[in-house]
This record gives sequence, C-alpha cells and structure tokens, in this order.
Amino acid sequence: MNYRILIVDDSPLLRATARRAVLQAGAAPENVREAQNGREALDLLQKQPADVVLLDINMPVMDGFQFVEEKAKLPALAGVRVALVTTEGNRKRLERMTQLGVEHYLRKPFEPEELRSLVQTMFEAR
Amino acid sequence: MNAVTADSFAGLVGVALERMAFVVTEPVEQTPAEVLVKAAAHAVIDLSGPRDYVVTVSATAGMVREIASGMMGMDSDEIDVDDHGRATVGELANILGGELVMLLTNGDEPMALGLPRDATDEEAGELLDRAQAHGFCCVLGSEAGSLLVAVGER
Repeated sequence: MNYRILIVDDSPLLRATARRAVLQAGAAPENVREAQNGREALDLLQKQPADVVLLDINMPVMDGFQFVEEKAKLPALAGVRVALVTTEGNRKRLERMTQLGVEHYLRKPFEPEELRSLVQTMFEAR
Repeated sequence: MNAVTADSFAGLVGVALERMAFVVTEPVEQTPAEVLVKAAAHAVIDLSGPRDYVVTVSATAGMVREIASGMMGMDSDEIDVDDHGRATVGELANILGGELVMLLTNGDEPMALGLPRDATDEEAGELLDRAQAHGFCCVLGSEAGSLLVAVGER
C-alpha cells in the first residue's frame, strides 16, 4: 500500500509496537516514519506530508494537544488525518481534539490487534 | 474522586500487561522490598490534580524481557535489558499513571499526568517507603519475573 504513516510517540517501545501494527495493516516499510514529539512531527510533515498520523499526547517538547492546534493552523496539512493513541481519558480534552479535527482515538493500554484494525479502518476510509 | 485500593489497582495492572504485551501475571508472595532489590529498572511518573500522586514502577530483568518482547513481537532472548529496560518501565509508568487517573476521575475531572522519568534504586526505595506509609503498592509476578508498582500521595 502507498499510504504514508507518521508515528509520533516519545516512547521507542510504543513506536516499535505501532510500527509493527502498521506494517501488519499493509503499509510499506519505506512509507512509515517516526517522530519523538509534536515539534519533530510538524517539521517532518512540512517536508513531506503523511496520510495518517498516530499521535501520542503526553510527550516532551511539544505534546499532542499542541501538535493538533498547530497543525490546524497549517492549510497544507489539512488532509493529514490524525488518530490519538494515548493514555489521555479526560472527556473535555478529547472533545477539544475532536473539534480540531482528530478523527479516531485509541486509549492505552490497547491490544496490538486494535491498533492494526484502527489503521486499516483509516486506510479504507481514505 | 474515587477511592482506589491496592487490589483494584493490581487488577488494572494485570489487565494492562495482558492487553499490551500478552503477559499473564498474578499476585505473588514476594514483598515489595524483595522485588525492589532485584529490579533492573525503575521509572516514576507524577499525577497532579485535586490530589497529587507519584507512581513508581520497578521491574526485574525477566519481566522487562517479557513485556518488551510481547509488545514488540520479538523473542525474549532478543531483548537487551540494558537497551530496553528504561523504555519499558517508562512506558509502563505512563500507561499505569493514565489508568490511575481514569480510576480516580472516570475522565470527568482535570488531572495532569507528567512525563515518565528514570529513578535510581535509592529514589525508588524512598518512594516505596512513602507509598507504604501514604498510599499502596502491588507486586505481580509471571513465570519470567516480577513487577512492583508503588502509588504514594505527594
């Protein structure tokens, strides 16, 4: 598949877990990139957009909330779809993310199969 | 805020390990201090809100290998504890801190989760003492190793 994925998480363990799920969902390895925080993710996306971003919230430098707010200001990234993969469970904060265009939400701890299924759903809806 | 007990939290820890890493655990006879001295890595995360807490996660080398291999789909003998220990307990602290927030608030009250950080043996020992005095702790074991989670009030 030609879908371009960006995994954004400060945990190398979670990035490895997500990469595995994304590859199982059918993504080509060369189309999967990783960033350790929101700032790094924005920089990567401005050089080369992705189709899907899997986004943690609790990260240093720029967290997932700040990333989504900054991304919403950039028209060039309007087509980049975002799924939260996070420990966050506060309803008000999640509603704010939905208002800013976040389409999907998977709460940690998740089963690897749930993440694979989420990514496939996002691919199919594209 | 909801009341949380060692038993209710230990149940959540067990479910989290099984969901994320296919690690099946159960309460064991070891004392927290016994697990602490065998731990290969410790991580700490702060929770702040109406009440402040600190969660400390300590794992033995066998438990680190089991969790990391389960999450990454690798054989446990491929896991280098020196390379993966900090990341494993750090992410576990993040996940379990999030679970504690949800258990306390049901997602309805503002409560902030900090970033996980490494802890020394000495700091982990001090935080265990605090949890035993003002909080709770749980010890879980699997065939491969042991895990200690200490939750203390700030």
